[in-house]
Amino acid sequence: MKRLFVTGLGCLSALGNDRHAFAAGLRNATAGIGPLTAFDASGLTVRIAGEVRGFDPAAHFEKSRLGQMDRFAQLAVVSAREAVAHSGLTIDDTLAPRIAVVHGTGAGGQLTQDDSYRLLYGENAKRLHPFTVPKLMPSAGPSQVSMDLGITGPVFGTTSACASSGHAIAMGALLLRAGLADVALVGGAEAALTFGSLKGWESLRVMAHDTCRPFSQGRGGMVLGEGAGTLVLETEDHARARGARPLAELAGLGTNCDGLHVTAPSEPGMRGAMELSLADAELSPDDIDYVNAHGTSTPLGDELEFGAVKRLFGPAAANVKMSSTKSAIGHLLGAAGSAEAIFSILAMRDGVVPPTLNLDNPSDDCQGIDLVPHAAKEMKVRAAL
Amino acid sequence: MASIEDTVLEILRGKATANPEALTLESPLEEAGIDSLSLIEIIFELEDAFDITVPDPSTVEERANGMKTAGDVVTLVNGLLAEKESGTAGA
Repeated sequence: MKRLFVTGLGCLSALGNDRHAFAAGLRNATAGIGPLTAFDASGLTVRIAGEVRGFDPAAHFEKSRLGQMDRFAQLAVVSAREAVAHSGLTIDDTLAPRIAVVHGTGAGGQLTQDDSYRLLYGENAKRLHPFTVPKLMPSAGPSQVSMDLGITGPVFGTTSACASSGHAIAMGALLLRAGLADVALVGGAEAALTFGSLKGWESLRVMAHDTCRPFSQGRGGMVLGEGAGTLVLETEDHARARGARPLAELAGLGTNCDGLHVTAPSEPGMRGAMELSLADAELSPDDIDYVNAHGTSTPLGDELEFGAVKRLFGPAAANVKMSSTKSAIGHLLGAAGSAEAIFSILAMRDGVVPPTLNLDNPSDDCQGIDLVPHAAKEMKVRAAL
Repeated sequence: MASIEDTVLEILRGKATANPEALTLESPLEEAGIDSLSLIEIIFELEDAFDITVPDPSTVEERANGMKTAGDVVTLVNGLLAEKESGTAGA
């Protein structure tokens, strides 16, 4: 089977607007979550989020293009540009058709949808802006990336809620393994911090009101974040032929579904996905030094995930480190998998395991694995899950 | 108050990607870098600026032939304003 390397990273989150800010934020245990500033949140009970701050769209895009792009697509493109620049790839006419873009999102153009509905239903607008549809469609992220960079290979979006960009990474890897492309830009983008979206999340009663404290006693739920992440995946042959320096190897992947419930997690399902990944990578739990947990900070989700890891790892659980970086940037939904893959790669590259913030006392159901509370840990990371 | 021509030109210049300052009533829109998608956005802005409704042309040819130059756009707007004035709009 073809080996696949990661050769470039790009990301924006509440920790900052490039990979350097990501890496520094992790090392320094920076808290990205704070009060919502994008709009007046006084009508909400949830007033905190992991916002991308200081992002000036006009610094990145011509006015004519900006009018066609929702914020989520803007973040997707900026992360993809950074990843390609980091990889050193030159996209010419020969390479363009051999590059794939697979980018996920959970909600798509939520800001556009919110604004449009407000105008239509709230202000009785007679018509909507002609770019409403191109802006809000969930495939706008990968489409805009392909147009921005002149990529003409397979280009599509993935959507599976919080797994969207995880699936994007997996699908990109499968395209490379199948020989349909030599390079794949994979990741996800989310910008769903709108009044309407947060109202919906409020009603699900899964949101924290103070902060995100995964695996902790008294954890109150999740905190939404926004951002984007893109990874450049390359076949070994392609990377070696151009002398690229691999940042990491994507050794394996696994994907499954609980087939049970729309929100409730399942321990066997989570464990099964990890088993599939390890089997595909031909690795055992003993080989894994770091697990980047989904760790959304919901009471049941964390408990079942912790149990799944503990059961899967068995005696190896005593040696592995596990943290939830959602404590730093919030839950990026459709971009979460890409951000967390990037965190894991940085952990291996820099030898720094990112911390779980706000973890004063692990809850009784989360005992027996080092959850790296409060501060990053310097150590060699051979492989991450 | 700005004339109809001035307002139309201002809207067109806002969307032109090639040499917007040089755009005049005689300028072909295509040469100003205004593509079919930009034209849809321009129609949206014209409707706002003049409080008119630009009807969908019944054929593709009609759309293409009706708006070749900035002057064509002014003619269209003048026609729709006259219809509105005489109360025949939407009839």
